[in-house]
Amino acid sequence: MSALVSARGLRKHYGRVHALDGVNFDIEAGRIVGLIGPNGAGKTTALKAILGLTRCSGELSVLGRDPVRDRARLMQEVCFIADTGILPRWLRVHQALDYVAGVHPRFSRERAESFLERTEIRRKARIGTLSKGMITQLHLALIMAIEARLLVLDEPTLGLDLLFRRTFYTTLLNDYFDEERTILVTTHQVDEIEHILTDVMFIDHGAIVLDESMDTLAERYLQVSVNPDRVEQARALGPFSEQPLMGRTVLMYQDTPRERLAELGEVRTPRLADLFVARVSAEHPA
Amino acid sequence: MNTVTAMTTQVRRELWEHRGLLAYTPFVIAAVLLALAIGGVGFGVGQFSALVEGDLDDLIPGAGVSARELPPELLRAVMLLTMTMSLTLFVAVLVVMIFFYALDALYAERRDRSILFWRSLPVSDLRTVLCKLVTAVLVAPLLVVAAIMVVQVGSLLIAMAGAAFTAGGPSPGELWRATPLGSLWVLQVYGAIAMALWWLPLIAWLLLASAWAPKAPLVWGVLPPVALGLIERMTVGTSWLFSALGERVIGFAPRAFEFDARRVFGMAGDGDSVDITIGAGSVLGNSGDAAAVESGLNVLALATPGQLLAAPGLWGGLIVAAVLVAGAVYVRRYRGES
Repeated sequence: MSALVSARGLRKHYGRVHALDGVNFDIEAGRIVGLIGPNGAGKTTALKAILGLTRCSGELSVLGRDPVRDRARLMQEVCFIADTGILPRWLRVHQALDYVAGVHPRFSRERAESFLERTEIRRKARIGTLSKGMITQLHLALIMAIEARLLVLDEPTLGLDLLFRRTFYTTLLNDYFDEERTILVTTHQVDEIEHILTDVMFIDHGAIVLDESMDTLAERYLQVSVNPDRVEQARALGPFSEQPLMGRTVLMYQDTPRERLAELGEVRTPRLADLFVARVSAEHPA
Repeated sequence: MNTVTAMTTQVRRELWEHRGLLAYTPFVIAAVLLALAIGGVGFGVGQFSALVEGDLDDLIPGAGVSARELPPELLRAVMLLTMTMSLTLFVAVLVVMIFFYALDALYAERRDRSILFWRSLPVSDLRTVLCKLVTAVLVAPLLVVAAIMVVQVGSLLIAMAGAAFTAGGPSPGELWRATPLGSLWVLQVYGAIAMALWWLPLIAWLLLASAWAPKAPLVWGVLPPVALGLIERMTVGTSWLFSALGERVIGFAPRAFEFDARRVFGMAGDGDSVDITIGAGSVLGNSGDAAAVESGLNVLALATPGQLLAAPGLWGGLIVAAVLVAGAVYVRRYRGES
């Protein structure tokens, strides 16, 4: 199966800062991929590169196209939601529908209307008068009415309250996602998306420090919580991270057999957020 | 066909965003002018004719006649002046509209970050910039022409209503027949397009400034040419740039039109204008009287499209405009990177 997105040696620097430092990755069709990294790690640069919004050196192919050169064509099959700020405030809701219907060959106005029926959004309202949650609902309604193959979400729930954040992802999963479609999402709210991801990538200082499917992640990464008397023993097995926690020590391992860790203490699959913190600080010790 | 729908949608988008500036401004001004005209008609058409009689005297030497017995040619001249009184104002309005629209067109979307939304849709940067250019070059002038038509029809109706209540002056029917609305409208559309084509490099420059400006597009649009002009004046001592810019603003007029009273009023034959005046007579020939057509107002004879199309400045301007538009497309594509 050929990858929907394929990056080889992707590089981008702003002055002396390397936003992307020779990045390789593939995104297969039908996956929900989380791209997770601290601020300034290169997440947004990677997304912008995929969307054809920024030039990078190296090879990048999205749906078999060069995203910068073929951006307009590519956008027929790629959709994008950033945080709430990008819909123009002066635009009215019905104008937004008219506009997308006018320029997008794969947009179904009926679908968008039926999504909007479920919301409180009035057609005549200016986007500037809507709440952040409603703006996101509107953007989501526009996007979900497009027959796209790749959906890119950049911090889509930033600034939304808990209720909207929860429904955002449920709607997306229930009404949008299927085997034909692929979602690439970045967020700080790792916990929020952990359960919907099929794949995860950690990016830090312009480099991919982890790229796993959630299935293999659970097999390869383990954390064990040990009592002080076992710490030396545990260290001998080569953990990549060690954190004191309420009198015990939590250590994380990669590719260490579960049976050997079970002898030392309580073994668990690490949460994505914990793994992220451990992985990123291991790569770049403070 | 799909591209046509998409581009129409994009131009409509421009009108949604700049509704006040592009769609309302010319018609609000038209409404104000008509309100003034309703107020002014209280003076009566006869008195108004008498007021402009002096001007007519200058225009057509020896034509001094009283307002009450205006010969048809003079009535036509009076009506023509009435109809065209507001044109200068509307050209000024159009300049303001285009200037502020073009400066805002590619800047506002970056200021409010909506460019990320627009660019997330399958619309190329080239098509976006072209649609904005079309809005400035074609849509704005045509909206202004439409507003002018409103003023002309309105003031003609007001004048006719006034005439109906004025004893001794021309009758409403005479006023109607004396007003060459049809040929005026042809002339105005032609003038608007000629103007916009002549201004194209200026508009393209403003679009480029709009795409480029980190902030204050007005400063980026105005300052570089003014600064270059001043530098030229201080170092070389010439004013080539300033006069070239001035020429670019008003230069369409002497090329697209021939302001020759004799041709308009048909007082003397002019062999050169044969190609241009063909068909004008039929537009003007409301009275049906052959002699009246010959001596009547030949408004369309003002237009000299051949001369405009033969002007190297027109084509040179179009080439410069193409380069500047390409620049604006390039800048829009890569501006948001850093």
